[in-house]
Amino acid sequence: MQLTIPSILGYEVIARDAVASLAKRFGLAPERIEDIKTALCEACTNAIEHGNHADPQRKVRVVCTIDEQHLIIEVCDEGTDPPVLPKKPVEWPICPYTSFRGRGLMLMAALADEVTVVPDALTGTCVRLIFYRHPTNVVVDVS
Amino acid sequence: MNDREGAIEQVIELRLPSRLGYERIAMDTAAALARRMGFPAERIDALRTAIGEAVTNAIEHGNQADAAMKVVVVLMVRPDELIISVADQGRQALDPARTHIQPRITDAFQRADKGGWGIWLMRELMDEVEFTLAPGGGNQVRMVVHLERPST
Repeated sequence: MQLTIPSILGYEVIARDAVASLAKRFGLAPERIEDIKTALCEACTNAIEHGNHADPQRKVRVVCTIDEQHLIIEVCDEGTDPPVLPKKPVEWPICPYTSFRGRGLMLMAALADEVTVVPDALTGTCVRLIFYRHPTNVVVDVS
Repeated sequence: MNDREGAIEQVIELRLPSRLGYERIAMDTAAALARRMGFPAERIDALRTAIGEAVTNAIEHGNQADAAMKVVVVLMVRPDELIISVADQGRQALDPARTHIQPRITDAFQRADKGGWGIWLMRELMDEVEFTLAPGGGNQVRMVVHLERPST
């Protein structure tokens, strides 16, 4: 499925609820769905605020596909400034935090099983979040 | 959002494969939006039912349940109303005569599938319902629900 929202803060929750509805109907575990919702909201708010500079004329596109093994979400903006994702395992800064900047990217990297940034010359930047449906018996594809 | 310049309308577009079950995604997405717009619970229930019927019709009839064909749901947010349009790719055209049908409960007892109530339900539940052709040539239904704010 594909959902397109305007770049207005608040609309990310519509994308979150749409993807949560899909994940629930495909039988994903409730705590996994909470991870998906959090990571997706971070990806959407980044796309709205940083990628599209909160310009309501620009769109954020969320594409969600599901197969036997994975739930894959792509969040695409119309910006030209792809984020730099931290590597797994995420190293969290020591408290007290000096800044919350970059925390969304850290959450995405920590919660999704795989996360990649795909710059797209035509449409902008896409962040791809992959969640394994059966984390214990999935063989990681390193290709 | 600046209503002096007419930019008072926001659009959300949802594209779904024509597979039964995906109407639930449209229902949940529209309900999430309507809740945040401030619609009361019973209007949201009505909206869920109407969208469920519209998307099911698009999947089963318009697109003949061919999963490769898309159903496009457009949710248009205005300050005082929500406009929902549901379009299919028109493998089967909707007979205009069927858009004003008045089903009878006595006939329903004779039918095995209990179908035939979708369009009637949409008209009962929504403030405006209009059947047109989709830009791509498929069937399209446009439904409007007005947001009545409590008077102060």
